[in-house]
Amino acid sequence: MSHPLSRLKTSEWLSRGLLSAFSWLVFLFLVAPLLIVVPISFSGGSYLRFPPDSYSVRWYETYFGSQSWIDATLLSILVGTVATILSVALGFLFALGITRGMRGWSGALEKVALAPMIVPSIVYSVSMYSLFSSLGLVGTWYGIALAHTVLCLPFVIIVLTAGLKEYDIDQETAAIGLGASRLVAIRRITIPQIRSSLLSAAFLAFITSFDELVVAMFLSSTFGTLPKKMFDNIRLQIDPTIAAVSVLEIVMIVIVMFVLLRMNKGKASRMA
Amino acid sequence: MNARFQAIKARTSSLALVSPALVLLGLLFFYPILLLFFTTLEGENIGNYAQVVNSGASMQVFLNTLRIAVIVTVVDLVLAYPLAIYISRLSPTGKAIALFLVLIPLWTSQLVRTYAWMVLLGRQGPINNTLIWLGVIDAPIRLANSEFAVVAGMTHIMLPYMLLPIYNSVSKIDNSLFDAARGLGAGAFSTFTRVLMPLSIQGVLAGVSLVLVLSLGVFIMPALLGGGRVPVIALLIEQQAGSFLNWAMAGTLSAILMVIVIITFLVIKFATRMLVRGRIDVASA
Repeated sequence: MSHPLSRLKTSEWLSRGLLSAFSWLVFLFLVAPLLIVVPISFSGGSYLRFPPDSYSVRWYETYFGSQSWIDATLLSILVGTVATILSVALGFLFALGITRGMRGWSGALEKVALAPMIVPSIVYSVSMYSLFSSLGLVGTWYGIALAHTVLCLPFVIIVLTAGLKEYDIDQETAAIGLGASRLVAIRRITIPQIRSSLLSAAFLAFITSFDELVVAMFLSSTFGTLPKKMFDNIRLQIDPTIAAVSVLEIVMIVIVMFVLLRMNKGKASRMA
Repeated sequence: MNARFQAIKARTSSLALVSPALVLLGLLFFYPILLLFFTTLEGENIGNYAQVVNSGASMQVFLNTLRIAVIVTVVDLVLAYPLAIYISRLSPTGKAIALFLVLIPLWTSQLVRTYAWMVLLGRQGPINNTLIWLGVIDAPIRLANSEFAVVAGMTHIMLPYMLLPIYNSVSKIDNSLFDAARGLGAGAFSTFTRVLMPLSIQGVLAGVSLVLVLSLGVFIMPALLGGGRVPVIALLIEQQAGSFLNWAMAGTLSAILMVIVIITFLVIKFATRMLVRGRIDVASA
């Protein structure tokens, strides 16, 4: 846009104005639905009315005071943490492997590892149920964590492969040349430099598991993760507790994202 | 000799690095899916395929799913392309804010976003209230529990998946190309068809492929925003497995869905390869 403004034709002004008006409407479409949830979560009544007639914090009290909501949340945190640790550990090793020494194979291997992204979660759920029911793993929290690890892996690998490709591998080679073992070089030189990629990968893995409904629905029996509890709640007794839970989740996401964006300055698109 | 030994050593250690993830994927991803696939071909299970194909109702559900996925993809493309161009022309700070606004919905739970649409489209929701206030309607109309609601919710949820790949390819285009096109006398339309489109087609097709594939398997939005009126394959599979405990039929339907998804994915991949190669041929001619 190096043109002096005076050289712009009226038609260009018009098309530029239309483009920005259209774009702001699309932004509104993206964000407005999330904002709607905030007033609902503070509503005084139990009807889904917007704007609410009166305001209160009773739905937050309902959430924090309910054993079943808290249990579901804790279970999701447990499953998400285990899936995050496993997928980041395996994904980090995998990304290290394909960014060095495997030039000819790395493309094909990356495609194999990204395959879980295109398989519909309902198909994966039915497959895993059949496998786990023969192994007696249906209804165990670690069964869900293992299945979630598979679903988290592609995101972790995308983020870490991008991070490692930008990283200058000569630094690691130099450390080895100076007498460090490969392991020490990776731990002391490589990992600190790609720390922000590792954190982004961990965050993506955690929310992938924390939000996952369908697999958790099929693989849990009597107990439920937070998404399952939310799904049942929306289906059966839609009350503003779900809005309170939603607001808590949105606040959590915004805080973490803000921190990550500050660390990753200007590389936001990588985290997509 | 030493160099060759080093290369072999490096390859072996890389193999050791990639194998834990590959073993996990093999055991807990490829094996169960192949197992499901082969189970549907065994013994009397194979009759389920004929049953699905001969049943008008099931075929209707497949067509319905495909139709909804195509509508969502087209609407998202129309919304995302101009937005991607707009964002790519913003200042660095503007870009960061814009991407922040795109990523928040992307990272927010799909259940939360679906719930938000239930509120938005509810009888006493903001859209109905506004329409009444404007005098367009007298009484609340049914917006939720309809195909419209499902499409609206899905369009919202899938938009970032369309936008980000398009933005990635649009933002890589050198801005001076547009100045050059204008300088050579190209109007807005021919700049679009001859500069912007060919240079961003890869991102567009990546976005289309992602949204189509994700939309084909979607479960949450039809279940919660459709109110039982919007049959899609994922709901049919869940019903067969969860309500009728007919796991064999659930398996057959899953296998068919999987094949449709893979075909869709490969067709777009092939189209991308053809178009990108065509572009290079034109450029070098």
